[in-house]
Amino acid sequence: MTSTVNAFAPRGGLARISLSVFCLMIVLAMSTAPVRAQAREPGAEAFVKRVSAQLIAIMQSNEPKAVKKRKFAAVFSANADVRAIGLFALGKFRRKLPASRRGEYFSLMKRYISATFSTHMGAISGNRVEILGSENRGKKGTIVSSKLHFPGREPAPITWRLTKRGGYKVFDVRIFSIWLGPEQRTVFTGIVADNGGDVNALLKFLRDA
Amino acid sequence: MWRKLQIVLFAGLVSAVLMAGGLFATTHPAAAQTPATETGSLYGEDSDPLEPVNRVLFAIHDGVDIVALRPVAYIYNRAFPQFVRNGVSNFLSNLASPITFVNDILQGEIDRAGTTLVRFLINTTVGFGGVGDAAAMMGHAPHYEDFGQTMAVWGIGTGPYLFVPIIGPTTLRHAVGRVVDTALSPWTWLLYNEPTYIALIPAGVTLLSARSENLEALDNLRETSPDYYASIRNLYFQNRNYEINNGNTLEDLEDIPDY
Repeated sequence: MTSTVNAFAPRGGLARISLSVFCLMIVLAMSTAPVRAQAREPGAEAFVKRVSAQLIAIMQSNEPKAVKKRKFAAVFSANADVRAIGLFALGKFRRKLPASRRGEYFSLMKRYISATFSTHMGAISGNRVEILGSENRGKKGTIVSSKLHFPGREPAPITWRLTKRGGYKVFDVRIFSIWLGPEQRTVFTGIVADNGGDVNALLKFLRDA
Repeated sequence: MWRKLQIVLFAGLVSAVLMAGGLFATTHPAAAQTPATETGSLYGEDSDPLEPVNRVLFAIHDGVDIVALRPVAYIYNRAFPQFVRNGVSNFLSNLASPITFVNDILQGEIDRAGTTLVRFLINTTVGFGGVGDAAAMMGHAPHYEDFGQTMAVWGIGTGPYLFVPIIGPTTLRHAVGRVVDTALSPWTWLLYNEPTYIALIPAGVTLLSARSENLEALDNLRETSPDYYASIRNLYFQNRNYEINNGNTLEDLEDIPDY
């Protein structure tokens, strides 16, 4: 019977631990986080930081829900690109909205979306926003990546999509993996489609909401 | 044999529920880049040829959810503090690492496979068997892969959107993928010879954990959406597209409309 000597064979508990640590170091070295170079937009980042701070202050206050919703609506009205959001939400039915009804639609939509978003924002109200980066994507807007920190929970990745017409305005927000704009469009276009392409049905829905 | 088949199928279906539950789950955006892949309609409107049937099944599911799933998830949230629920979720995620690891490899994502392996080693040891996510604190963010995503990367189409009561939203491709993932799951083999009621415990806890994590988000959606079915479908496709592209979905964005 012969015995072979393997220099790498673990001998005893200490050797096993050393081997485990060695393996751990190898795999640690294998994993390198990818870094993506971006031309950042400081103005957009400052805008997001300011709006986030306003929203966090509203959500953290002890005021009644109705007051919070009203304040949220004010922040939304001042910082959202309502016309772009409204046209996007109409999707393929955009052309069916006559120019004469646009003002009414934007006004109703602003009220509705503001109320809806304030409900969703309540579910993710954190206590500190961290800006991760930004980049200009041309016609797709300026993208600002951020993290919303919570006490005792994993931070939530929040991505902002901004327009720049004069100053920056919010066009869409992605919470985790979900953009709110497409979700809104699903609802609006669904209502129009269910009524044979009649945008008046959407206007009625928004008025009654 | 039949019992084992039942276990495998049920575990696969519950995995699909997890994916549905993952609608609002944290997925780190700083993931490695992969090319955009064919995912069917981005928001699902054009991928639902079975919509009339799906809507009926959705109504059944919603009834079960209101009567049973949601109340149990509510009690679970009230009975256990956040750190306990996080521990349960972390433990389940850690034990699902082999699924992610194999699919990382199958997608040619070697760096991400390394991250999965590192996370598994760290969390199983320093993280006390996976209860704590020590790896995330060390900068190794979690990510999740499944065979449905792998098939998407390989260029296989989504197939029709399906809504299965209890299981939740899925597509044909996704559902097939979960069966393969079930074979990769340690639970399947660890509990292979156990009685059915024991073998189903991980699936049940997984379902409970996933539902409880989305309690408030789904409550809000049910309250605010005039078409809850369409909203769930939209969120499913958005989330799925995000997962398949490892968070790199900005290229898919439409241009902002002019006015």
